[in-house]
Amino acid sequence: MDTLLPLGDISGEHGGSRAAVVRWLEQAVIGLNLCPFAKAVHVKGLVRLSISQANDPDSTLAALETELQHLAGTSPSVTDTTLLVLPRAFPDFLDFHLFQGEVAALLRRLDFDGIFQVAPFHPRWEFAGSAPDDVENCVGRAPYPVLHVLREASVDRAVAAFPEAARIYEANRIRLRALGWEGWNALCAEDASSKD
Amino acid sequence: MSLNPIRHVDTGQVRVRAPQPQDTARHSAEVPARELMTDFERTQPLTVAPDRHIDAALQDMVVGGVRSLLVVEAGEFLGLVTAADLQGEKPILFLQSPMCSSYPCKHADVLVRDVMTPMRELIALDDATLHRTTAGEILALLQLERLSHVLVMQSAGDGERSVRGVFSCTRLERSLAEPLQTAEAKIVAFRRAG
Repeated sequence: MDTLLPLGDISGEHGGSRAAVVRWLEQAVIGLNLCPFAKAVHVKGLVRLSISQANDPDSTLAALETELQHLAGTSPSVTDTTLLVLPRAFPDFLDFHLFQGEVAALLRRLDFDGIFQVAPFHPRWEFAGSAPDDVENCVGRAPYPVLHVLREASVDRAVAAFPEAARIYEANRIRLRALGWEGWNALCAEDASSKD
Repeated sequence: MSLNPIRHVDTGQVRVRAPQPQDTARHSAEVPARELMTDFERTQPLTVAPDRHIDAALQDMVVGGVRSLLVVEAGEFLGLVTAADLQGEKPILFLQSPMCSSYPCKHADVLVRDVMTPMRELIALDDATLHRTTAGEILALLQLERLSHVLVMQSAGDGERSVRGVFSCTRLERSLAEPLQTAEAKIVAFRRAG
């Protein structure tokens, strides 16, 4: 019998979080081609989606450390990249943003600099110099705070194979501006995956 | 030294902790150790059954945002399992040992009980002596002994002992570290802005 007790309580919630993140990954990240490298790893089942109930910096760093070590001990042919989803942590974007310094410090402490990088996503993501309601901010937005752990080697390979990598960011801005808020909201709505 | 089964590791529902903003504050190494202890009288400990598979236990840690779990069976405290136990060499050593009774011995056969530190081998601190100890001293002890966690035991008036809390090396290191420069955090987060 399980004695880790929140499991029964949060498994239902987990199902909802998982579905929302998969929808975001498939409809927005892959569907809009925001990240041209996402589709290949997703269809091959190489993306690990891990949902944590961490709700403060310490517990988030604990979950992240475990995921970093897990990725380090796993072949890229089994898991290439990990999405650590944090439905209960950092409701405030600025807190999450400032927390990225702690994430960088953790990578250094574990000697994972140059091996892994961590890309943050947040439901209220704002780029520097943008207004909160600029639709381009959706590039950094996900249904929940997410720490995306990437292998630097995989990033290097992907960038080498994709000569236009530097232009992805500009292309995303253009695509999102064309889509507008209505399009973005429809994409992330619950029934979006059933439309196709 | 044998310990009695602990009484207050509750196998009822674990409540979700409220955010603790004070956790982000930096402390001096001279701060009393107790301030940086995870106190099980305030935070209910996360527990795991000894027969749980190690991969499932690892996922439990990610879900709970912890790096250690108390191993408890029928309300009785059996030992401590840490992320390092699950992710390090212990599972492989177990697979290669005669202790693994399956043949061939596979990763799927490794359970929490096979890699945990049983109670009799645990290094634990006595709660009664903690008031004299600083956080810096606990951190030094953990680093010297190469431990990721150390438990704190307390004795009740009737002599029965229980687990009062745990110190995590990671948490101490982070809490006692030099403050991060805000500018550094900004650069990291906005690098994506290109």
